[in-house]
Amino acid sequence: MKLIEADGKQLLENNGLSVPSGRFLLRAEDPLPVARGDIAIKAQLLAGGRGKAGLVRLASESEASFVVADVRSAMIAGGHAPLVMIENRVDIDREYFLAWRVDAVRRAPVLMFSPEGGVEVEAHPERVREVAFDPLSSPRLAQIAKFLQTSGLEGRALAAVARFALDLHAVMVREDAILVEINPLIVTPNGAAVALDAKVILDENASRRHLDWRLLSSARLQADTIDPIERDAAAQGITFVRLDGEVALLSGGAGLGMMLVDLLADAGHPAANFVDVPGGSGADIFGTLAKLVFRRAAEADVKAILMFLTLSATSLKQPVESVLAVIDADAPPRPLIVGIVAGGSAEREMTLAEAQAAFRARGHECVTDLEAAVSATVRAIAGR
Amino acid sequence: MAVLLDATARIVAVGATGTYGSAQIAFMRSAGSVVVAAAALGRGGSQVGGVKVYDQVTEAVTASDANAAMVYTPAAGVKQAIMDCADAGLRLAVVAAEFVPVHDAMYAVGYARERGLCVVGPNTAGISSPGKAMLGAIAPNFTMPGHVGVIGRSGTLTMTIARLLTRRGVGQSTIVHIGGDGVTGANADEWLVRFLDDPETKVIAFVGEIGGTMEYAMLEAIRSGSKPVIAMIVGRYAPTGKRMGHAGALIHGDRETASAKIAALKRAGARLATAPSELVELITGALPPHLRPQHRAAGDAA
Repeated sequence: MKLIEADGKQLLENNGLSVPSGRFLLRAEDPLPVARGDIAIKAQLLAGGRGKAGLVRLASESEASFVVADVRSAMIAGGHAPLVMIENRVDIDREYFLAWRVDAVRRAPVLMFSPEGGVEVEAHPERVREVAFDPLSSPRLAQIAKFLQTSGLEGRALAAVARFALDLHAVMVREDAILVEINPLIVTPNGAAVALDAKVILDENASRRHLDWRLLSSARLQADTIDPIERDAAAQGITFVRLDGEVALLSGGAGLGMMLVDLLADAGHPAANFVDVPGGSGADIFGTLAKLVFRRAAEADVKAILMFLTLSATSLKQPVESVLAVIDADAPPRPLIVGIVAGGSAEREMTLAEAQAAFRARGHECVTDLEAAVSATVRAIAGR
Repeated sequence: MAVLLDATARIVAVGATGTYGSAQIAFMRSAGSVVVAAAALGRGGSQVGGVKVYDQVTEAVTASDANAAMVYTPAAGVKQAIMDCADAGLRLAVVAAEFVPVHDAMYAVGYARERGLCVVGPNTAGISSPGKAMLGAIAPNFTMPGHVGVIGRSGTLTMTIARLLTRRGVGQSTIVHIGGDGVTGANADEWLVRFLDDPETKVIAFVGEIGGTMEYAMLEAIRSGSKPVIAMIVGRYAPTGKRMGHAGALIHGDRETASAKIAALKRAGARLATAPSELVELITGALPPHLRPQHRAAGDAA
């Protein structure tokens, strides 16, 4: 889950890291708090590129309310909820780029640093240096400092940035983040390191041990901007991705689903969605899935529904029966092609032939091969 | 020979309980696997799938002389379960659970690797050396013994490829689903090297997907050209920034797209397929002539 800056900064602050003071998150109807000098006004979005879009502004006390109104209307014009953060301005001596991320290929936390922070990072990505740390132990301040020294840091800035980086690693682990990026991390004239921005991505697999995440403004913002079918699917633990095509897909398995999306597009009839169900879900998950897919299928741009299940260690009886129950309650809104592959112990309670007979009895074509399923779908769209 | 898993495997079923555990153990046995014990904290002294349950993995391993683990523990307990397997001196652990927090996986896999435990998964359908043993959920009738090594990023797709090869009459040395998460026990390049080193494997099939950059680490081994590598990358039409089911299947940048990976693999000398049938034909054609099926098998093996 991506966090808006205000949530990211709160996370840092909760863990004892320095962020600018005087932070307020203002919703559309919230008035500007009593101003105290110069402030920064920043649009709160999950998308990047705010600076270039004029959504990060500085204002004096007298200009503040005008600039806030300006940022809000720019956000509304861009199709965003007018969520704005204000905070006190900080004196800047130097700006850096500092981040920790989980590197899946190296299976290690990686520290990234550039002596040029802010927008300069994008102009000079080659100046960002990185080093992987041992995943089994906390990094030592001395190791971090050595890396920063070789990147040209010295003096009080070296000490401040190194300590900040050490604490930021602890935040990443404690808060189950996969990315904590501070750009810019600034050092003030009196030598303090302060996070002027924060980009945090949390690991959704860890949400069960962070029940507070659901209260974050970021979670609400995400729920408000997501497609309604995608949102309802997510609430059931199902991944649903809306696509622009004409074949609604009802499949199990992420790789198989992506393969079908590819094959349908190659055949000139792209998919209207991608779906995946987590393994070990309850027996009813396929019924829930069928309802979601049929909702997408009922939309005007969809011409056919392709169901494709591969079952091996799980019995096919429950998935088949729960899909049939949905079909019997409410006929599929488009022609339905049914592909089922059963191996191992999948047929222990119901054979593949029995399952196919049940679908055929209801007038749905059955196939047992990925590519045959795609051709049958193409034929169904062409009206044979 | 086979890769990592052969008929000498003696399996402890970790976290296997109740009817689900019994069914899973029976399923592995149907593929020839030897399951010798189970371990589940709080269930010591009971039975599951015809084997004795011990509270601790180390107890189960000591009592049964197990050398491999099939881990059914749910996501929240996976970190401890992997470390338990490593502490018990096991050499192979297959971890089924999906949704393991990435920091847990990173720590536990690091711990395991330091102690010589090879982890398949998390979020894996398992590993199968047809005719010898299977850990996980790969149907034995989808597979047959032979000379093609199959490395996959997706469980259902890995099984699909095995099934189509079997139907074509082309057997497999070992089939491994490395796991759908970002952090897995071993990356695709490490599996590739194992298959290159396995004398029984003559051709290697890799089925990858969008997201992550682990394919790039395979390029050097592919360039060595010692065995043909046939690959397919799915997600060619996946939108950027959307998680396509697997935790790892999310495009963050150009290098993580299917087209970039396909281009890089091609340049390194791999042959690329866009559909399963094409993949199977390329694999068959890459086998030495005496190992190719004589007749096209009729009907569906599944």
